[in-house]
Amino acid sequence: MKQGGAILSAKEVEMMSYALEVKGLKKHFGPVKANEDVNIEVKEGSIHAIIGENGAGKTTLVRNLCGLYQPDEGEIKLFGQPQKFKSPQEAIEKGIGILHQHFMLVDAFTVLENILLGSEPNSKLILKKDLGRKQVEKICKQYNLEIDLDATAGDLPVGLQQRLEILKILYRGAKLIILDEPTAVLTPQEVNSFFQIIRDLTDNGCSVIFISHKLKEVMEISDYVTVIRDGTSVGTYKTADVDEGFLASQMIGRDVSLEIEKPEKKDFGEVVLEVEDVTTKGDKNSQNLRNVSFDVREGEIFGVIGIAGNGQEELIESVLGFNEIENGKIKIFGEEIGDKGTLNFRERGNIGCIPSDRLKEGLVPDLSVLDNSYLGFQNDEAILNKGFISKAKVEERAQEIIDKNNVKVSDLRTSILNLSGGNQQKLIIGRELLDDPKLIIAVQPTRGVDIGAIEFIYKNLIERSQQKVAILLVSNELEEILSLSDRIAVIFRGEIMGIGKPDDFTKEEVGLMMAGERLAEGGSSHERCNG
Amino acid sequence: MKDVMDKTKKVSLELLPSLLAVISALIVGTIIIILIGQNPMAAYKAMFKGAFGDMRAFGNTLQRATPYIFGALSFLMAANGGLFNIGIEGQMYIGAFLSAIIGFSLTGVPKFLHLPLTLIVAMLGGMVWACIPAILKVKRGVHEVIGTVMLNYIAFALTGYLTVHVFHDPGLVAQTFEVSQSSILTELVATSKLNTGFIISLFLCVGLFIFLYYTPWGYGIRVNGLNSTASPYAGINPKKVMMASMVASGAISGLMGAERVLGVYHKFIHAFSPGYGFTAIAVSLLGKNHPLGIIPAAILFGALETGGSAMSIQVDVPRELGLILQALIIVFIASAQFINKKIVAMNGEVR
Repeated sequence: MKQGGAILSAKEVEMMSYALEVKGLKKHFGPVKANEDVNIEVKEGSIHAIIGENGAGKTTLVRNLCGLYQPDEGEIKLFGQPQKFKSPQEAIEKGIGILHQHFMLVDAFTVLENILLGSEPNSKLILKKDLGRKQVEKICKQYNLEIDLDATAGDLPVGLQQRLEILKILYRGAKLIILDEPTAVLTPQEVNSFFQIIRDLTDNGCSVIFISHKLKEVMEISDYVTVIRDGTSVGTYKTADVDEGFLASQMIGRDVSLEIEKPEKKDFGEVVLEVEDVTTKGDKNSQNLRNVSFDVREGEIFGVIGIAGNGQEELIESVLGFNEIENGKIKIFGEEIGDKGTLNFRERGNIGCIPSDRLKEGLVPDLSVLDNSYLGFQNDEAILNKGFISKAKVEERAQEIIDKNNVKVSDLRTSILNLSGGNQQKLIIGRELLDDPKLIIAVQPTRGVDIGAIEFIYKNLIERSQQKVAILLVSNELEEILSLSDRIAVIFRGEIMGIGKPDDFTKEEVGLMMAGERLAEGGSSHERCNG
Repeated sequence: MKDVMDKTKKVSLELLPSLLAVISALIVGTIIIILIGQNPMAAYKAMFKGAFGDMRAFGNTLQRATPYIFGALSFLMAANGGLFNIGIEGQMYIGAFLSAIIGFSLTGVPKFLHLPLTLIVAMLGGMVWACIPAILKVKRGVHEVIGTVMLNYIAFALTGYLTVHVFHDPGLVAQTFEVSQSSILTELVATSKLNTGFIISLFLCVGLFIFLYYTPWGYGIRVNGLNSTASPYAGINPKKVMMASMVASGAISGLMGAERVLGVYHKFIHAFSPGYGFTAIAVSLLGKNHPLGIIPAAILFGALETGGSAMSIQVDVPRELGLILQALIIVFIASAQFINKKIVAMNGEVR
């Protein structure tokens, strides 16, 4: 393995004072070596990125740092002092703050109440809001964090909720702030202002650990970057001295190509999936669709982009025939869904579906690899023998999926949970594509998988589209949608904000549409859409 | 060869919590016997002899195991589809009562018609009784535990009322008339009351095993029980599966009642059940909700009952020790399930 030219010299390392030093950290769970040998030194006042693939041990590392886990071996020093946190509370008291991927807010409380919750000033019995308000206002001013303290937390957009989470951390006196995949829920514009907040934090003397698997963001925001692979830190570099390709190869231990070669496609075939003016009325917990229209043709990858929770779920469920639509028409292979009642898509034709949540929707965690390999195809003549499931046929089919898609699995009868996320996803994709479907519905196909698997998935989708397969791709990853799709649609609060070729819009324009602005003709002036 | 070894290892790992529960119960039982001032070895020996010592004892054990086999099959049928059927008791009462009605009201019908008809009506009764909470669950989202528990009371009170006020066989006991010979399940071992219902239960075990593990339908039911959010993506309609597995569960419960009436009591006796439908849930859990796993579990529970009685005669230990052991097994199996879940959750957390 070649080393980049960017390893810090011993002298350079010695000169710094560190917010955090981790030496030889080890944490095993039975046979699983989640953290094997992690060494990290975070310079005070710096933005230090930690990158690694899913399953590399980032989450375990974070939990070790914040007192949720106690490491088996190794040393953690915070501002030069050795620490052994027994609980998250202790870690907070010592100045570690964590911004979790999933927000931990009380929706019905105001911003101020959320901040004070759990560390109320003075007395635990009587809430002295005014005292707290002064302290919070001071912090807001110091860190340039604008927010209405009296707004209800649940009403805030995601970007502001995240800001509130940061305020909570600062109010508790954190000096070292760990951001765990913080940009996953943000639009491109929100990411920009979020990065500004991070810079303001370090300007005020905080140190920041930025955990991510998005190389572009790491390149943009961080001063230093540590790569973790298989539970071991493989190197720390000055971000300015390395490039994305180098970091990617360090993450997976071999060279990868991140560039997607999209073939030129001139014309597409017949319409395979047609969604015409569809409105839904689902339950109150999900975003309903309003007058959604688009079509997907043979050989076309049609990408739907939006921030999570803007109706993507409803769209997929409507197309798959899980729920009834209130208005409009959905036609697959020219046949209207309503014609056959709410027939399941498996009975409607050769359709492959890669659901967004592997373990919840795509697999049955308690079943073996073998029994998962025909999930959805249990009524297929190919695996049946006089109406009974034939073990021999099932095994043959599973082996074919594994061989064709290079799924790493030691034993067909092992639990599906023993496979890595990437291999689970490969199994699903292999299963869904084995019978050469004419329509593929792929939802977040690369969520939580390693780069190797992402490469594989992109290659597969593009290949299929060249074979005249229509593909509906729904994702929250803007890069993914822009680079794979032949046409894109932006969805916001159940409405399509715009449809066009990826080149028709700038990235900023797509970001604005994701945030609810409709581009007027010509794309220069914006009209706010109040949903 | 490796395949066989792996399989053996996997099966023994699956069995481990059940075995641990039984062993722990026996250890606590030992302490109790010592506290009573008796010799635990002698007591357990008497118990074993009472349960398996001779043909009659063994017949008794199997007779006591029969309702547990039916009940556990009923429970696991619903559980595999993702529902918690705690209404086995009520469905069983309905089945038992209907089998008594058909059993005594028809006379002069040949056995090959009468008996199957009686069994089918009992199954239909259990089905209807299970259908109500299933429909409430599927259409209105009423939790099946609430629905089935409530219907238990109704079944108990309704059959009691009809027995006392409509079909009462004059006498002190609240019971119906005796069923005619043509509807009786034949006794297999003299004086043990072990009857052909036991054979039926064994066939049902094998049948359900093949159904659940080797047919597309059974596969769909298991998928729905393990992960119902994945069902629609796999072309499985969760509502249909829930209905079907609950209805099948009710049918088996009905059969369970019929076996007691046609094979053991030969009449419907008000409140005849010592809680078969509830103990059966523990039996099913002990047998890992597996149609073949529940057979030894049910026989163990039957043995604790017959062995307990025998023990109380030979050694000065009350027969309730058998029931205490049953209860201890239930407690330990419940905590074993909990520990299992903990282990899974721990492993799930590993990143």
